[in-house]
Amino acid sequence: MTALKAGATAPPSVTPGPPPTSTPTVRVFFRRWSFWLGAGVLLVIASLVLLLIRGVSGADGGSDMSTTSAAPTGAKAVAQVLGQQGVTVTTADSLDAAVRAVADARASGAGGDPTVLIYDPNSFLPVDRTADLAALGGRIVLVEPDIFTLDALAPGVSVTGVVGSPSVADAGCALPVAERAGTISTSGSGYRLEGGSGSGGAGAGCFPAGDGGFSLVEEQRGDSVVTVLGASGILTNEHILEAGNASVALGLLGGVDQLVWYLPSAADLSQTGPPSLGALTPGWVTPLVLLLVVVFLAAALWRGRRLGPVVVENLPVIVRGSETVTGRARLYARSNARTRALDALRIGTVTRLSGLLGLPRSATLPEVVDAVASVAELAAADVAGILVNRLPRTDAELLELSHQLSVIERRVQVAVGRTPASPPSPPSPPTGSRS
Amino acid sequence: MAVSGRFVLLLALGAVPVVLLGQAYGLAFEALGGWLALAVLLGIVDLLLAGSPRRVGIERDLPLRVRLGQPARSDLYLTNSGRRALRGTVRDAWQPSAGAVTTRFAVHLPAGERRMVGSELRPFRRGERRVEEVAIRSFGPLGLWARQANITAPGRIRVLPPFHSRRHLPSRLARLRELDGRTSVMIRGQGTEFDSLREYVRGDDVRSIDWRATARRDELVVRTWRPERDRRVVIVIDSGRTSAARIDDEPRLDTAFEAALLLAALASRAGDRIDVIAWDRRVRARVQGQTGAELLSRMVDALASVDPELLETDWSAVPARVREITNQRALVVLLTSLETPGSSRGLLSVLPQLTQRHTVLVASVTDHGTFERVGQRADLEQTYTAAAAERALLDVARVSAAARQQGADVVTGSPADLPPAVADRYLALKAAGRL
Repeated sequence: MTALKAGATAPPSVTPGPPPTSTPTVRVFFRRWSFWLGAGVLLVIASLVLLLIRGVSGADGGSDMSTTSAAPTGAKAVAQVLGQQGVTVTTADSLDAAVRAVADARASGAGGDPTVLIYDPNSFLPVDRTADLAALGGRIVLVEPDIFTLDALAPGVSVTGVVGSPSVADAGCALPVAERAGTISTSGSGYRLEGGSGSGGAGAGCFPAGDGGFSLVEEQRGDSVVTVLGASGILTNEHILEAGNASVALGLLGGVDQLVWYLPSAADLSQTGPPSLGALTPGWVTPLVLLLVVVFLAAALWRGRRLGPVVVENLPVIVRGSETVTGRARLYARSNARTRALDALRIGTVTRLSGLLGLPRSATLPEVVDAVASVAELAAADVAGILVNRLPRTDAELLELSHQLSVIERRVQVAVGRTPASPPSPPSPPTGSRS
Repeated sequence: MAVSGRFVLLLALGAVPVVLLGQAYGLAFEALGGWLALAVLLGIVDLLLAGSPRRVGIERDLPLRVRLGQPARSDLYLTNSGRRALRGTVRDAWQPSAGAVTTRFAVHLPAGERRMVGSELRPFRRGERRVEEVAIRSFGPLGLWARQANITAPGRIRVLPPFHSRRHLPSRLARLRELDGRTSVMIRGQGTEFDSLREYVRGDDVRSIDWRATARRDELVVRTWRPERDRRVVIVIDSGRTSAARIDDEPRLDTAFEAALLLAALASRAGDRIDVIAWDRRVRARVQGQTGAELLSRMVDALASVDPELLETDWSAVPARVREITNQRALVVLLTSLETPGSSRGLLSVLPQLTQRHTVLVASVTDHGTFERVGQRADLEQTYTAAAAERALLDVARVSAAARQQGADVVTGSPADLPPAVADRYLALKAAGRL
């Protein structure tokens, strides 16, 4: 055996030049992955170009009724046409900006008050700032206002309801704007001028939109004119060309050469609420979070980079030899094979008993039963019942019979002078020398 | 490339300038960018100054063989042929079952110098254990970034069967020597050979007195005999699917190896010629025409890489295999399993062909747990298990009886008992002159 241990060692291999490596060098790496790297770079460039084109074409924000949005719900078309007609369109996203724009327009323009368009679908308009609202002047176009806006700016107008199905409505009034247009496509909400409001105002409703409401309501109070446009759709890029929409839009908004396009936004809210979380956090928090992200990525690289290849190991199949016995026992139990199970126990016991009693292999069952009964000093009928005859009808009977079998075996062992090891004794395993 | 924990720490320290500069001057983003640039710059410098792992020559010093359960030494000689010193980690990527105590080594290799690293191997599985690659991670002087490469440096060590049963060998050899020189009465049989004459001592059988020799001398002379020599022993190891089952956490196949090794060691001392094949549907290992110490080393070497195959053993070809090995009458030892009539049908059908020409010994591992289960009948589940175990024992008994009826000798035993039992049976056959 020592000859094996003193095995010769493998001859050390002499390696001239650089040893063979399986890790690609940087050059090989780039050559191998050139296609995918190229594809990735191409993808990045393509998306950048696409972003640039879309950005130039004015898809910024894409918010409804924005003068720079070319989306179906935007209002770039009407704003551009107004600009070509000599109307200066100034956009504002807060009341302060709108008031400033109105003041600027008054200072520069000769035509007095500018037209102010207010479109506020999210109810950002600070209706409680009455002084600022009054500073907007006397030429206001409210596009689909809610009742709070109406209360503040056009108290004589009330909402009648949502226009159900879009349809084309005739003017049906004497307003010159409406008469020129003839028809518009209605949508949005309907409005009504309260006849008996007693506010001293006068006005008209045009383009009936069901439920006694109108899509266009104009209220005059002294020298101020507030026009409520219920059909907000007529200003959008999608519907501006339908029916007389364009005519109404240009008539309403192009009356004077200054237009303030006021879309109330979240900027109106920050004026009144407490300072937001963003305003309270110091300026270094965002960079610090970015730094932590970088640190996290570096730590992942540090812990995740494997030193060398994954080593493959073929694992052996582990089959326990006792599995067949366990499986067969479960089959017996599942199918309640009491008789079959007891048969196995009986055959084993009888075989061992006849061995203990020195009976020949050819001994018949009745002979074994008689011999057992006489040795164990039991009634032959009982022994026959336990060893052969009784059928186990219930689990309890099976248990009892199997117990009786062990009892008989132990008695015979004691009787023939072979002391049982432990009750109930296991049969002695055959040793290698038995043949 | 790899980064170190030090680099992660360096990045994390960037929080200090980010917070301080951000708080004092509002330059948090600038501080972040500056710090990241600094860290990456340091990393690149570090990477450029690191020694090349690709310029490290590797030689292995490894024993060819080791017995399972014994440690072996695996050494690596690293030669730095680059121009810069290499500091870093080396991983020797052994299979897990090779049981390398350490696989990672911290090394410092000055340029042009050679160092040895190594570890002990404690393999826990038989067969070829391999290593394919060595991974080297080389850090720069700052220890921030590292270069990494896998270097192909294959090595293998053959883990031989343990041969635990050799502790039984001395006692069996003593019994073998006792067979020598016995007088004919004790071992009279057709196979015994005349050995020598010696003086009569009191106790010798008078029938073995050689009267002719006694007449030539003045004292009584008896003939002595020695057991027959130069008999053939053919060991057939079944490496089919039934040999995969584990009994006492040892596959049947490994028990068969133990039995084959012990028998071969014993029989080669007794002057017999041993041939071994491992067979399922083809020959997995073959040792033929070897004698003495060479026989055992060839056997462990050939059997080391034999694993149980998931195939049904083709017994019908075994007589032809045995005939290939010898035409003489031989002792054919079949190391297989006798379990159920179904799985042993193939073996039983070819036994007559073998027993006609040869003495056949069938050795099978039995499970001690099965015997214990027969006695445990406390509850219903245990009773069913006892019945299944009893049925399994009856099956083994039936198959063994069938094998004996075909003229074969059957030896069964637990994994620990089977090898000495087979050796004892061989001695008994030898003493009886039945070889």
